[in-house]
Amino acid sequence: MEAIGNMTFGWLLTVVGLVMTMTSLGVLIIVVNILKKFQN
Amino acid sequence: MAVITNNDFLYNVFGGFTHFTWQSAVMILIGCILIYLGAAKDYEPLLLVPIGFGCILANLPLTELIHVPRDGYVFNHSIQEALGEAGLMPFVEGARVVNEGILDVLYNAGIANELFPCLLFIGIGAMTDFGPLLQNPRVMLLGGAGQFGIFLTLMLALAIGYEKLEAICIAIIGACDGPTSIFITSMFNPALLGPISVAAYSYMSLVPLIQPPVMKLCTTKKEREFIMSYEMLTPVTQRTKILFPIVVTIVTLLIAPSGGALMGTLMFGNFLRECGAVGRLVQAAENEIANITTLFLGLTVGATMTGEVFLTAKTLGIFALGFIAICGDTAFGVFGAKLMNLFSKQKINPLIGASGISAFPMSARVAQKVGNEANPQNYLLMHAMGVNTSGQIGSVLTASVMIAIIGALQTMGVDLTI
Repeated sequence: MEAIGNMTFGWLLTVVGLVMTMTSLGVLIIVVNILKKFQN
Repeated sequence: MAVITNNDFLYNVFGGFTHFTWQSAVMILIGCILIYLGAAKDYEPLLLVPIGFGCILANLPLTELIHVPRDGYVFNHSIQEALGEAGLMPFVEGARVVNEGILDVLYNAGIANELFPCLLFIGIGAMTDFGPLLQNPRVMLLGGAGQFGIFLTLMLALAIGYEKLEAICIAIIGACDGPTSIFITSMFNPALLGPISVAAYSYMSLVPLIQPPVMKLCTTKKEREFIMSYEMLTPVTQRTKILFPIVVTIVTLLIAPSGGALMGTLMFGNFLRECGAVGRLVQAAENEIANITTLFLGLTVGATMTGEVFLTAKTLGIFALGFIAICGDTAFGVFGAKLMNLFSKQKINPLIGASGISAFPMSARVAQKVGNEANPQNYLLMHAMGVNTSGQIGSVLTASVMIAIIGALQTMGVDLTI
């Protein structure tokens, strides 16, 4: 088992977590806008 | 006669009194306070009343309704009896072999395997109207900004010495979402279930008190007075509303598959609502399933609050950090809205950014109230509702992403328990 420092873990989770969350929301906004274009 | 006067006999017959400790007394008092807050003060009564009663039940000595902390016990099932006869029990060193109490059964049925939070999510999805969000989808970014407090709290918890998995469970209080907090804590550190769920539900009920000062601190009066145009809310058809939960499920689960239980159930509930063909199922999800699950979930979570687990310095830290998490979410949401204004032609009132948390619809009402106080012509409710529902998606998404990252680290052989 490898060990990882507490703060290293925190930064890793924060940076990757925020990037993934905001990217997912960004993709959702684009998809919803596309859906709305075709709704009529 | 000799048996009756024997000390051991008296000790066990009157065990309720002889095993009563000061910790039991304090925890029963806490249970009563939770019931009072729920029943008399209307702070999240559906959860705090069963949690309070569960807490009282678990702290009366010798009731054997539930056994916590869980790793100290092995339950006496038939297979274990056979193992015991073969001299192989208990296989956990120092663990006691006990019979399951009724709350043990509920715990194993719905908390240990995270089923109860997921059933609740079906109900929440069935109750949520994503219409205001779909009318102005760009506010979805504020549902992400509202989760920044989670990560701030994570860093703080790690900096002051909480273990990694404990820090995640504490930080997720910032999601302002009871089922998500319970789901993550059951998964990563069930021992903290009691304090974390009580903190999460208490702070959710205190959103109308916690958020306004933070919102006012982060905005000028001029910013709060800003009237938002309703032209930015473009109409959506029912077809878009039906397709939305399917799209969200596919997109988010392609990015973070391990969040399937959370996002899948939330969006399934919403799809039932929007498709319009299964009224009975929607009614069951919103009422019977949600009510029964809430009852069992509250009672069982309350029963995990024994003195041994709850009366520690860690609990105080959890409450303090949970408070910081919710204040942080509010502040980051407001600043997120200000940041959006820098890059957008259609300006928004920064107050609606504070609604990017999962406490629905309370947080949207708070934005409306604070905006209306600053300018009586201001009507932010529909805008804030959109941000608030995006906060629900954002919090579940953040939790899913965290599960995905932890899963990846564990697969790589990283030890997160130290």
